[in-house]
Amino acid sequence: MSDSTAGAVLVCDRLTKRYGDRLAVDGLSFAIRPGERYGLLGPNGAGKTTTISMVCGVLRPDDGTVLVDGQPAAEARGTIGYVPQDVAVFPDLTARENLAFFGRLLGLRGTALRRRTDEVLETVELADRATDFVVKFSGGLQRRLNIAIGLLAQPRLLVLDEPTVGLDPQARNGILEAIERLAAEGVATLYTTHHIDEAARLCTRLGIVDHGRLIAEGSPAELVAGGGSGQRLRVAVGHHSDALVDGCRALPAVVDVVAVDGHLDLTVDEAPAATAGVLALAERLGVPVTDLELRRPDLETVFLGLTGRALRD
Amino acid sequence: MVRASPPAQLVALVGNDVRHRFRDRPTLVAAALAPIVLALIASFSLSRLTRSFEGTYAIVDLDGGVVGEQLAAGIEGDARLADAIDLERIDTEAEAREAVDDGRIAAALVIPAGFSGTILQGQPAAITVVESPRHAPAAVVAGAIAEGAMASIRSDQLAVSTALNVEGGDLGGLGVGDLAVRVAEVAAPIAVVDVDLLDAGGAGPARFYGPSMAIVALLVVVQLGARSLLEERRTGVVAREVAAGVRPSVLLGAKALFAGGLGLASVLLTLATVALASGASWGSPVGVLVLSTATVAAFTAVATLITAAVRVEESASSIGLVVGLLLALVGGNFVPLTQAPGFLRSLSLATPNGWALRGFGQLGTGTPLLEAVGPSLLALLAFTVVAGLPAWALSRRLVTP
Ligand SMILES: Nc1ncnc2c1ncn2[C@@H]1O[C@H](COP(=O)(O)OP(=O)(O)O)[C@@H](O)[C@H]1O
Ligand SMILES: [Mg+2]
Repeated sequence: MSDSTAGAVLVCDRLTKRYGDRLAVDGLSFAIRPGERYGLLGPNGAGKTTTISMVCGVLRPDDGTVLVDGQPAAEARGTIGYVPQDVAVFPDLTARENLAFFGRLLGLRGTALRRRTDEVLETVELADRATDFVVKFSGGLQRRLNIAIGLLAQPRLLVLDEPTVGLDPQARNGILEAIERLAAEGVATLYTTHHIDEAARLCTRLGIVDHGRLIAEGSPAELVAGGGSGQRLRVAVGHHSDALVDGCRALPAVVDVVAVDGHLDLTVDEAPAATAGVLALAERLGVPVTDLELRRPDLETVFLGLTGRALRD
Repeated sequence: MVRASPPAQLVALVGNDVRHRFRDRPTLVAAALAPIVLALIASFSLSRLTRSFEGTYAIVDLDGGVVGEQLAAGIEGDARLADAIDLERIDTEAEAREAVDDGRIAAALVIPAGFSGTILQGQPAAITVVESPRHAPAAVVAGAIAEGAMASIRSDQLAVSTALNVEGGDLGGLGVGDLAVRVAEVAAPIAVVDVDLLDAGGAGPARFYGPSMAIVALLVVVQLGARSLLEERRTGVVAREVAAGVRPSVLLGAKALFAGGLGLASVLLTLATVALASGASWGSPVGVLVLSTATVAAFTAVATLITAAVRVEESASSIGLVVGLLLALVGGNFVPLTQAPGFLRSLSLATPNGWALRGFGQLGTGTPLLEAVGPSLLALLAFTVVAGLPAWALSRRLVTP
């Protein structure tokens, strides 16, 4: 264990998981310090859930190790707050009954169980629905209960796997606020998402994953500053042209080009030169340019630059 | 936070399953109502069938001779028959006809005039049955009594002619009265009816259909446990339980306890309902409990094996149903084995329910308890182990990280 991982709540070291021929997680390493809010940001299929499952001891790594507070994942079961991506509750029980059941598995009983149940219901703002059957809950309420169950153990590390997936903006905001309240209490969190705005809003440090590999890591500001080699030029075009893409790529001021539906996203060193070059090229090839946007680097441009893919739903 | 001890987790898991299932109407119906309904159907339809054998039967002795009198007395003196039916004498065939037609008696046996003489001359003779189509079962019983009586007479004839042959085969020196004495001497007790027809009075069929229906109920109920494991695996609850520190063996143990408990409850409920409704009894309550438990264990193992091997809830249900029906059919749950051909009886012992039914059939017959249920218990234990070990291994893989 290196110095940077000493005292960490979670250390993942070269985690690897294969499904048949597919490498779902490919030598992933990262560490989370106490109180840190760490985000794994990556598109669908990047290997986030597989990583979370290994961290929480519900999936055995093919290779690599997970240490939770210095303990192997298998022995640390029950000490991590695990909030799975899919809502894993009993729909025909009430919210309180669900919490009581999972609380008992953790060794809570009697008044301690009752008190902790009330606390977590309060935290996720579900107290007034405690005795309602979960089957009647909206998606947002179900996700709150899903989080509440993860909080029962008063974990030092809370692991949330895409807790807002499939929610409308309002419900999503409710979840994010609940997580912010928790973060304010100093609980270390591991948060996975494919929403850049969520990652930027919640996380103090981010790991960007793609194809099971960690391709960049740092605070959002560090990533934006260091990740992009320049600005982003978005060129909306009338129709797709391979010649235009190749031509742009050959321009000296252009670092990279990605064709995304209806437009080109260019990573550029020198915005004026690149803009002039692209426009001239488009004119020569007869490709109409319908819009032109120069963006300062942000997480999305960083991600695009790193993966060549847009990160949207 | 310390996690709960494995026993505490087991209690929490089983408790949750119970609570969960009580919220689930179809399961409740399957677990509680179905056995009761099956039991009541079995008790009432079968006891009506049984009662239709009962009634008053008449003997019309038109012969008045020694053999006829002997025969009538033999029928009247048969203890097993006396348990099931009443007998009376009627003087003429016409009166008997009238009584049968207006339903006062179920059927009548007519010993024709000259019966004794015909028999004593070594000639074939027959008893006729006065019956009514309205009371078909009684006709069957009367026919069986008549046939049994004639078979007995034929063996008497054989014995008499043997006796005469020994003395030189000469009838000359013997009067009819002497012959009658000889007949009386050699007459074996008249074996009248097929025992199965009237077995143990009214409760006979219920004694069979009780366990049989109990097993059918068990077949339905016992799959629920294993299927709920698949369901909870799909919804992610199992992963959550594992993440909370529940060991796979505790998880599976809880499911087995739950499925077995539910199965045992439905078996005992069925048997109790049948017993209350029909008066059937299987003797020792300990025997019933032990045999029921062994039956439930074997079926829990078989159902879990199927479910864990199939792994897809819907397919597991349909395959489970087909296997269940097959077992029920081959094991003799629908047709009593005592009336089945020999090879079917052997085949039934390839099924756990076949053994269970055999055990229940022996219970309460006066056979010592261990002798009655011992072989069935051993066989059921073998089924439990043979199906249970791979079932455990396969389902462990379902819940192990
Ligand atoms: N149980 C599984 N069997 C086979 N492939 C799987 C399984 N779970 C995940 N995968 C594959 O592994 C890769 C990573 O999946 P996952 O960890 O769920 O990604 P994410 O959570 O980032 O969307 C994907 O390609 C997915 O198809
Ligand atoms: Mg995922």
